[in-house]
Amino acid sequence: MEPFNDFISNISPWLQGLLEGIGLPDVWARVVVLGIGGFALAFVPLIAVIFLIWAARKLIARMQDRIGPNNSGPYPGPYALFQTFADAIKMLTKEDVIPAAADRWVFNIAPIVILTIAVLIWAVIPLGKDITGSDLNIGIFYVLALGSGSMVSLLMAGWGSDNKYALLGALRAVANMISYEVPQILSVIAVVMVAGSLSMQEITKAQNVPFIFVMPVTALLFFVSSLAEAGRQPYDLMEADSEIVAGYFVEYSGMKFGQFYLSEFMNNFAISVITATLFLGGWQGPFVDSVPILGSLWLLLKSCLVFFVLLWCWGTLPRLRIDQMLNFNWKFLTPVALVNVCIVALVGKAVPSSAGPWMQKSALLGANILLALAVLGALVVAGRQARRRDVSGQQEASPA
Amino acid sequence: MTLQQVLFIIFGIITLGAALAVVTRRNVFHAALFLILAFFGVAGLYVLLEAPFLAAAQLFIYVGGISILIIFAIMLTRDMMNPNVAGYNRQWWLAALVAVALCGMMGWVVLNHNWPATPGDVPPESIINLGKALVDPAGLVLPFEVASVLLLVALIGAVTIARER
Repeated sequence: MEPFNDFISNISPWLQGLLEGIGLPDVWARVVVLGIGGFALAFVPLIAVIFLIWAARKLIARMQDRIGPNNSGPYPGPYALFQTFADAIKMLTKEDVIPAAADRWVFNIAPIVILTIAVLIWAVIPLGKDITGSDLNIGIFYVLALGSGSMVSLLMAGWGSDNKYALLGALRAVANMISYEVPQILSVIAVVMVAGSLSMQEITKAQNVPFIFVMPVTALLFFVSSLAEAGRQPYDLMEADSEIVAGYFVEYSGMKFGQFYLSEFMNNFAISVITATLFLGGWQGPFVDSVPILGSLWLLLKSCLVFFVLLWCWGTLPRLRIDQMLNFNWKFLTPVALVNVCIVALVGKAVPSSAGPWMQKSALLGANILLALAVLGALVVAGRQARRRDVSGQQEASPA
Repeated sequence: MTLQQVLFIIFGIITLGAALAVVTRRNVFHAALFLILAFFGVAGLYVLLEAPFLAAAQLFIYVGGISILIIFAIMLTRDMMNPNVAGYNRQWWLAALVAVALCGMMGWVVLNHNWPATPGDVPPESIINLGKALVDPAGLVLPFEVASVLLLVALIGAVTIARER
């Protein structure tokens, strides 16, 4: 049992020894091992996504009072579990249509870039106690930096298609991402300040109490702005079917469409995993110290929980208009995130972690709850004023 | 040739080739995309120099901020993509003069600087040193704080403008 517990962390030295035994030089053996590791890591989100697409269909169907893919129809596998494979085969065999006026190079490269970036995020995510592609000491910053790369690929897709709906979708997507980056980064800053590191592993290790119980407001800010970054409902106006058909990927067909679809799901799952890592304690859980491989299971369970909330929003919330979306970000989320950063910095400094294991955490929790109450109070007052203005406006208007 | 040298040459070719394409492409949108590729190449060089924070900041600021701004400017400019409109105006000779002067100055520095032939030690935790240098009273705390306050004011200004009705 013992070697199996550390199965994944043992496999790389073993493989390297094997390759050096064949007679490969040290450096190239390392390159081969890292290449295989990277390849395996890239398959983690791919395989996860294949089943998450099924889960999403099934759960959203249930939320909308439908049955979804099931045993009775022409779907393959028990409970239509293999429907996604059938879809993938269908996409691979479909004709690849390129619009005559398209910017061919840009049009063709865009899906590759977007999928590459969606996979690259997984390099720094700690999948277990010792299972990380690369434990960069800038971890979460790397994830945020890659997000800005995906903006470029969306613009490439939108512009390269030479289609007004595609261009509108890309512009909406970029406006959305640029705006919601601000509260997202500000909430990450609060986490980094409390954890004392940018590395995803260190942030996980800092959470003997998951941060969602220390900073609930921060967690909510991060999750909402991440939803917007990924263009998930209620922020799906970048691909709003009823307005601009499908947004930036309207002209794509076959596997190129599949790449957009895949990267979208990968990003959604990445958000779930990152939220689980930053706020739910990542791989931490009971019995992880004795059986390290259990950490991956805890992380999977936590991310699935977050993914379920994401699906819940997807299945139930209506779409926002673009002005509502921008107003909500600039007039509400960003100010709250700014105040939140100040509060976390002040409380974190005023109650140092040396004051006792629970002192800093409970002080932060108290400050966060106070902030939440203050925000709710401000909302109540603002809403009351707005209603009063409406009523008086109607009274003035009615005699005339 | 070590692995690092191979990677250095690859990133160097990417950066230089993309930079050349930026100035030779007639299609401005393509030029902007090649500019982004050049930024990626520079980020790769930063990674080779064991400065991952700089590499990520390069992607974040130049790819996510400046390039997007450039692409938006291209999209909002009329006749930018019209092949019948000249790609330059009457001040082209001035720009050429500045470019040649800048190139000459940089070439002079490269040729005359006393470059160390042996590599120095790479500090193990460069990001911690960077962070300490930025908030150290003896270091860069004043310019860092001034820049931070400026950016914060800009952010709050954006929120205030959005709130005005």
